[in-house]
Amino acid sequence: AMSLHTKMARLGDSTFSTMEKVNSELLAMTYGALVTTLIKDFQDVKVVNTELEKMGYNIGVRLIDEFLAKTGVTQCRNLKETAHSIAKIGFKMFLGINAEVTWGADARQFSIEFKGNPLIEFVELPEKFKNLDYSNLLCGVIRGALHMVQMVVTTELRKSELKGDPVSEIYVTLKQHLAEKFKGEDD
Amino acid sequence: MVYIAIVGKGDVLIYEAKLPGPSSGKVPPENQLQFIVHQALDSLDHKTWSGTSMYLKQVDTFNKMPVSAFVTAGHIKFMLLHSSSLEENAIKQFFYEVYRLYIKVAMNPFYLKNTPITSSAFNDRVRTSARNFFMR
Repeated sequence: AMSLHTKMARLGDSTFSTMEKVNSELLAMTYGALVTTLIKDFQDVKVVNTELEKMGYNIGVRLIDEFLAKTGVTQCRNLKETAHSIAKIGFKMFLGINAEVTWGADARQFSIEFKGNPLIEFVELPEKFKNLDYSNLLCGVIRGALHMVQMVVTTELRKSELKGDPVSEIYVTLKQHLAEKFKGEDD
Repeated sequence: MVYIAIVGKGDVLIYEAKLPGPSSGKVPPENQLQFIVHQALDSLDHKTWSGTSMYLKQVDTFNKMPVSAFVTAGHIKFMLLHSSSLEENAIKQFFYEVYRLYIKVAMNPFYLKNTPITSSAFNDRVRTSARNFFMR
C-alpha cells in the first residue's frame, strides 16, 4: 500500500502537469519589480516585509479554492497532513518545486523547506537589504490559505537561500482552530 | 596579467579588474590603466558601426599592448588590455562568457543599470573565466 505522503507527492506532480505554465523569468522579473517598487515606496525593510506578507495573504485566501478544486483534496485529518499537503502538493503545483516538511518544537509547529524558489532567480540581496525577507509573499500565501480552512497560523521566513542558507525555510505555528460559522449561528 | 574594463552609457566605468593572463613584461602602472582604456573608446565607437559583430577584435594599442573590445546589444562595452600573445579566439570566448555573466547581473532586480557592478559572484566568475581562457 502506498503511504499517504507518497500519494500526496504523486498528486502534486500530476496536478502540476495539468497547470497552465508561465515563463519563470517573467515571473521572477515581475516579482523583483514588485519588491523593489515596495522598497522605493516604503523605504523601510520591516514595512516591506509586512506588505509582502499582506499581499501573500490576499493571494492565499483566493488560492486555496484553486488548490481544493484542482486537487480534489478534502479535509486533512491532522496538522501533519496539512503540512504535507502544503509541501508536497501546494508547492509543487504552484511553484513547480519539491518541498520537505520537518517537524517543529511541538505538535503545533512545522517547517516547510525548499530549494530552487523561482521567485529568487537572478536575485542578489545588497548588504543594505540583508534584513529583507524577499520571499515573504509565500509566508502570507500559506497564512491566507490556511485561514480559509479555519486555521489561524503565524508564519516566518526563517532561512533563505538569498541570505546564504543552503535551503529556504518557512516556519508555521498553529495558533488556533476556528469553529465553522454557519448562517444564523449568532441569532 | 590582463586588464578588463566595462564601460556603460556616457562612458561610465562600471567594472574593472586585473585578471590572470600571460604577462607581457611591461605592465602599465595602475593609475594609467583606466586612462588607456578611456583613450580607446573613440576608436571603439567608430568600429562598433563598421560591422554587425559584437566582438570588435583589436580597437587600439598602447605601447604595443593591444586593446580588444566587445560591445553588447545594449551598448555596454567590454575592453581588454592584454599581451599580443593572447589568441583572438580565447579573447572572443572570454568576452562571450563575460556577456553571459553580465546578463545575470543585469537581471538582478536590485541592480541599477549603468552603476558599478559590486557582485562578488560576478567578480569571482570573471576571474575564473580569465584563468580558464588565458592561462592554458
